[in-house]
Amino acid sequence: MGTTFLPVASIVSSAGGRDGWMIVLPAFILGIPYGLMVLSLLSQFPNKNLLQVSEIVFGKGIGKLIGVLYILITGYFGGLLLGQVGDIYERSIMPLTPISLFYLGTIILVFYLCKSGIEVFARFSEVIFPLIILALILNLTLSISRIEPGVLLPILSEGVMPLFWGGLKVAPFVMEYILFMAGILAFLPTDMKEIGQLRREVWRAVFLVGILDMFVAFTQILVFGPFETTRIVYGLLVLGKMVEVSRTVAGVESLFLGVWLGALVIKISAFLFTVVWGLETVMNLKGLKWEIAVCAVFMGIAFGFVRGSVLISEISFVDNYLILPFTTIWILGLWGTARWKKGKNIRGN
Amino acid sequence: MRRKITLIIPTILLLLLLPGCWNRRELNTMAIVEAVGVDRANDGQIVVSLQILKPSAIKSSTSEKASGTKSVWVVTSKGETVFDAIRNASLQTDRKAYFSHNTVYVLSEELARNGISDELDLFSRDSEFRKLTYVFITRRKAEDIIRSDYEQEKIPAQAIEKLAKVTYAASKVPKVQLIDLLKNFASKTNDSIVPGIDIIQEDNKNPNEESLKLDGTAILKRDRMVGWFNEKETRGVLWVLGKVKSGIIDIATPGNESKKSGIEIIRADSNVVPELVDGNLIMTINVRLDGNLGEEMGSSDLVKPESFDEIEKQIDTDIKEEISSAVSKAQNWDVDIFKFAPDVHRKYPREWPELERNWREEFRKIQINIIVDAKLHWSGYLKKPVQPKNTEGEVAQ
Repeated sequence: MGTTFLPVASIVSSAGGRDGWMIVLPAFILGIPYGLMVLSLLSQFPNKNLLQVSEIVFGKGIGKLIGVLYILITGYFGGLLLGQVGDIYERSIMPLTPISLFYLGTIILVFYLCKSGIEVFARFSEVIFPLIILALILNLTLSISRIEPGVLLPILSEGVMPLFWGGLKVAPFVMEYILFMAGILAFLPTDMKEIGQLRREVWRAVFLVGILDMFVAFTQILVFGPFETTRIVYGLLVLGKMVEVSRTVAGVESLFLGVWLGALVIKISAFLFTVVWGLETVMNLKGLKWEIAVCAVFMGIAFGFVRGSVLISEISFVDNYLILPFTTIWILGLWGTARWKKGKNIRGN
Repeated sequence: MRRKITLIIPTILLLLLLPGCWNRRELNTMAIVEAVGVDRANDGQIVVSLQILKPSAIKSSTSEKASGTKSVWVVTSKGETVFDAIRNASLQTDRKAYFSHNTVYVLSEELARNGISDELDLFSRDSEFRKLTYVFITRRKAEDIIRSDYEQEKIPAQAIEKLAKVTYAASKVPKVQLIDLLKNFASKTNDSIVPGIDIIQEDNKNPNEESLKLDGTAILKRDRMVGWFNEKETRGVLWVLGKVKSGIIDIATPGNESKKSGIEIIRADSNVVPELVDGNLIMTINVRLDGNLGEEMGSSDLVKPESFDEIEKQIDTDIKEEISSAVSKAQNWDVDIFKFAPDVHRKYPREWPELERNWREEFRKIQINIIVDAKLHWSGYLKKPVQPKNTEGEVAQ
């Protein structure tokens, strides 16, 4: 969720205009079958992540190749997300602060979370998540007075194809979550009762984030209109800037930026975890020095994209042309092959 | 323990570096801008006038006039772009201009006639500027408005902001914020209205005493100003947009036509229903109004049903005239300031792509049908106006 609620409105309105908000939730729901496929593989291969499962199902060679792709994609994307921390702060409220400080401050926190382990990371997320929800809800409700309901009509006047293309641009968001699930699988409980609980959590996570992102896009289209929403890079911050409670509370986008940073830290940490797990699984590289090395690579990637517009188009490129095709094909192929092999074995017995 | 200390000390050192003091802005280093005026000089350069707050003068409890010090300071500077002009202002001020508290943009008519989207780009792009700032156009130089005084407020910019906020009371001038203009500029069909602002000097007052007044409405085709609407025409536009919230409608007093009576608008709303008949667009504008007999000049007894019916008919006629004159002028200028296009799009989504392609042409041909449903409810605390009598007890003529 960390990076989705800032650009989501601009992305969907550029594809689907006034109807763009409608595609957010369906695109997120695409994550449910994928999440359930991942959990089905968990019950079939307990205590193994999907890289290990790939080696078992596809054989060592293909499994390793998938593992390398997984590390490269998640590592590159994690570095780009780190770059986004600098981009958004420089762009909005702190243009004079050296961009390296944003990178350094964030990577230290991310490294600390990764080094402390998955439990500390989970607790950190547990603390930050309600703040994110609260900030979003406040931002949206305080914008109600500025909405123009008429801008949503006519519904579907351009047909459904623009929505389909918009959905393709939102689907990578949920696939990022699936990539993290692929790695964390080895740490998840495997008895049937708890897998049932995990299934429910997949539904809950997808719907919660999907609905929130949908409301973010919905509100922005209502407040700015579809054309202006497309023009704004980080619409939620502009919305935050317009929040006014009398003259006492006004222009509070800095508070939203703080909350957003928390969300982004969670997301970068998730991708640091995926790279670290990947290195351990595929190349047997583990320990503190490799975690530091990955952090250094993240910093290097971030420094390679200090120009904001290039960074945004690169994130969009990785989302649309790497994460989405890689995850959809890999998980579907892995699940299908594992099922097929399982069926064959049963018949063989 | 040693390991922990070796971790904690660098962390503390980093924390000292990390807070990002690079961007600190101390209050005494900021020139807090309350209003911005933009003109274009004869040499083509942008002229920016900044109304800057003087905190020391604000502190004083005595009035500005009594203390002899003004609460604001106006700096004018030139540049190739708006941003350049603003930064050039720092060559005259000892503080850097800070715009987060800015409440007003004033643009000159001369500038607006050549388009304002370029000049507004900075205000929508930079994070320091806010999109809820009120926008005005003046027949004078914008600098004159920024330099003007206002009797009731220490900070003239705040007076202008309050003037914008109170426009609902008369509904003769629109209230327009930067975000409204940006939304219209981004749309393919909408045109814009912007309130006019001027300086007035009353005849019986000291020549140095002047005051600000909202006056007329500038009409923008895309981002270029094409002309002015007077108060009645402006209210015609506001009726259609459903933005009349209050105000007074002056009508000839029934039974005493040489005199006027004032009808107070208590609440009003409107909706526009488009119809496509044989390829021609007909817009039915429905206006509903609840009003009071707020004032009666004359001696007629108006507080009876038949008089109320007559007044309601007059209100209908007046509103229809206001709307017709506004629509007809807008059609002559090819400006869809009524947002008819989104209404047509909503009702006829299939036909819309064809209509949108020639929208200016279509707009010019639109026929309007105005239906006003005015309801007069109350007459204040009086039935009949007072009728002065002479010593014989007869009504004085």
